[in-house]
Amino acid sequence: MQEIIIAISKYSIIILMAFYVYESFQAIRDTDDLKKRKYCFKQTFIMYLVHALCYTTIYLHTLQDKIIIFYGVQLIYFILVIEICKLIYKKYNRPLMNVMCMMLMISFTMLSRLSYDKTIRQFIICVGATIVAMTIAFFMKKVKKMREFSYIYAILGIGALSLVYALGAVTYGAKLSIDLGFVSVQPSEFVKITYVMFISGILYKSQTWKSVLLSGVLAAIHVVVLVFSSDLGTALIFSVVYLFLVFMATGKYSVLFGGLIAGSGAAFVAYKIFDHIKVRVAAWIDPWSIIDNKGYQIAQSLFAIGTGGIFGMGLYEGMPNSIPVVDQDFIFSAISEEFGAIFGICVILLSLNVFLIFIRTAFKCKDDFYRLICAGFAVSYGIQLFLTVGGAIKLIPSTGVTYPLLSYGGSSLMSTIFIFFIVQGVKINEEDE
Amino acid sequence: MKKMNDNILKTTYVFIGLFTILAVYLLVYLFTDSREDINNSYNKRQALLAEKVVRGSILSNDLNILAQTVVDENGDETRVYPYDELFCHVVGSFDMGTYGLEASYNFDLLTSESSIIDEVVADLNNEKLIGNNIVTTLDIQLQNVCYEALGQYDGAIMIMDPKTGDVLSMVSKPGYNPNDIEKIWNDIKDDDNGRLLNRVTQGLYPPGSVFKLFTLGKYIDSNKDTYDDYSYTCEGTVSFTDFSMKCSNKKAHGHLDLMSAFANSCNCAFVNIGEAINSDYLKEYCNEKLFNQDLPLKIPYKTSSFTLNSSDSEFIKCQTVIGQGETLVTPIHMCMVMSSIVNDGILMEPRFVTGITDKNGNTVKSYEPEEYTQLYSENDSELLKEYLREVVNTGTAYRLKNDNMDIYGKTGTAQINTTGMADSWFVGGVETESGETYAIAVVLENVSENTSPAVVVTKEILEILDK
Repeated sequence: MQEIIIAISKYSIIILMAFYVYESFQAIRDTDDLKKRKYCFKQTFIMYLVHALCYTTIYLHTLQDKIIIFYGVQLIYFILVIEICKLIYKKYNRPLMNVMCMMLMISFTMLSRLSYDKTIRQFIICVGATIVAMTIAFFMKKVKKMREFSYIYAILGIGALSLVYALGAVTYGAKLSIDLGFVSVQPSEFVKITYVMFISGILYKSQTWKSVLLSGVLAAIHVVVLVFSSDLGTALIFSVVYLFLVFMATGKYSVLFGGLIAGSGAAFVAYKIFDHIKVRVAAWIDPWSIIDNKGYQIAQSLFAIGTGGIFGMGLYEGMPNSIPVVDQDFIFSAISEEFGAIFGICVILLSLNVFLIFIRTAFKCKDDFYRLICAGFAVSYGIQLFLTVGGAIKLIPSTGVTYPLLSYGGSSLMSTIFIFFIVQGVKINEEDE
Repeated sequence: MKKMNDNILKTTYVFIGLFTILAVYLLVYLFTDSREDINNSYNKRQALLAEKVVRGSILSNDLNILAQTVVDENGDETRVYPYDELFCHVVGSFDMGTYGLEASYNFDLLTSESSIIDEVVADLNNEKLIGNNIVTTLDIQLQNVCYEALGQYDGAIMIMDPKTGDVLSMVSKPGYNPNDIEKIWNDIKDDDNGRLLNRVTQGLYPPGSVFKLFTLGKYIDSNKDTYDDYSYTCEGTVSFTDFSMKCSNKKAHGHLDLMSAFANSCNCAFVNIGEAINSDYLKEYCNEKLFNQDLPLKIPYKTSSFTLNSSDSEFIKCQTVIGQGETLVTPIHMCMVMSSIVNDGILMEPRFVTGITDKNGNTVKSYEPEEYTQLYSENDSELLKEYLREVVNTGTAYRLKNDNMDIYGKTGTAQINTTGMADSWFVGGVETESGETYAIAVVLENVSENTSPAVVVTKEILEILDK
């Protein structure tokens, strides 16, 4: 009986997820409010069903009561977030809220399976971050001068990154975090927000070469400090975000292509200088010949994805924990192993959905500052996703970046939730005017 | 404002492209390379697949079962090897760690070629799928003959088809019965005799006079115009300042040319030939002939080693050119060298598996013969054949002479230490009247020094090829 429920759940989850993705894309098309509400309702229904099936499966495998309690608490959280937002912000973006909740549900499910204790921690951070984030739209309305502080954002960002360089703890060869005793913080995750705001703040006002150059120098300082900390994945994200923000603000192809060429040159130089880039490139070109050491992680990731196949091994029926750092850099491989590649592709499509919602919000803005921050966040989210999934499936060398909202890690989760609510805030404030 | 939106739209297209690449790449990977990738001994997920799939069978070249999983009514599975010990090394075993082809094709055996619907139905009914079968090149009759011919000796025999690279027979003794592996595991796992070891691929033996083939080859190579004029008078021993070399039984071979020196395996003449060869060049030549090189094999193997260089003493060099010294070779390496000589110098990759079939016998994947390298030029292979033929016609392997077949090869007796015991070798090629060709390598351990039982064993095997 138990096996049958688990097997039925496995396939139901995949089918429901495919429907969810379909409804998500319907919901962001230009349609009348009534239809939109219908799609969102279906989305909400499917999402809770998937969540329930996932936790049923987890319970049947573990038979621990704490799983049921944890599920109950999560359910309350999701209902409250959606209902409270509905109550205080009439114009909030419901499809974006739904996709965010769905991603969090998938994340909590996968992390619970990998490590229950870590998930509790992650959940608590999520609740805290959401409470703070829900006030963002309100503040955005009150503090109209948000856009005037470009230089302060830049200084804050550079300062925080320099602090990591000076005091940071080394993990996997890179300085990423500052240990505050009771908790360790990864400032670069929050700098992702100030970084987009400072560039947008400079470029929305004037699109002259002078502004491009000025923002470029400040952005370059960010990147250089990151490179010194060996946080090369983030340095790459920051570089790409700058180039596309400049392109979107000014339409200057020369900056985009010149930057990409210069970036490739820089990447080649970095490859020559940094041993840990050489290691990652070697592991990307042929993990099998060096599977004992350098290629181990990527080989395990490919084993997971390959063995999982189209339908996956089923929750608890794979071996995702054999992939080093699975809950951060390789969460996608774990999802693909146990939920299957169809589900994995659905997750990628949901991320595309998030990207498009950010872009649509940018499109509809009357205010260029808001337009640029939304588009900037979209690019930042999109490139990060490409790097993390591409690394896991060996399309590109692994860059050690996390999957926004899915990976374990408090700072990443917090900053991503803030970004989602800033985009919500843009929509709410734009429509109020 | 409109302009910014235009730029944002262009950017959006770029990113939609990137997302699409991710999804498409993932799908393509799953249906192509991933099957090869996951069939890797580092993939610990095989135990998980075994919970969903009944391990497939291993079949001989005429589709008889060499290994299969039998499921009883309680759903308990047993791996059964109908030929007991006969194929224990090449097919391998499964229950106490995987060996042989069981290990190399582990994932293929645990993969089921079922439709997606079958897969879902089996999953929902909590049933197992039936794994794919692998069809090998192994010939039961030949394997049996080789096994019987080897008799009580420890050692190894391999026969391959030089035109395709097909491994027809691979026997290694001592062996074990894979059906009993759980019971006998404690005895065999630390056994000094290496019963788990496949001596054909993992046994390193001194080549003895078999090595003269390489000394000869190098000599001809560097004396292309004059090798025919070579002559030497053997007195049974040859003395150096602080050591002397002797022929087997100190037999004086008298006046020899290059071919009769080779046919009679005259040590004194080959020491003399060795003096005309530069050690470093000989090493280079041996490396070309796959000494110290990786071989194209999917099962575990050792690489043959040849370490002579110009700084070694004269004594070491004299030993090395007649196959004593430090040189060590595997039987499969010697068999591959022979196979290339038979096949006009072209070495085919040894092929163990011709295809993978599903539970109904439909071919899922087939492996074609693959050329590995041109090991000898066509001229060289013809020339060496003549020299090797002389060994059978008038030389040390005269007992193999057979009017129905073209047989050529080289014997070897490698002293292991001073106890008077030796390893006995025969490596060679066979061409029958009907045009079938074989390459063969036989090595017997611990025989008394002055006999060459490998030739006797080979003779028994040739009788079956004659029919």
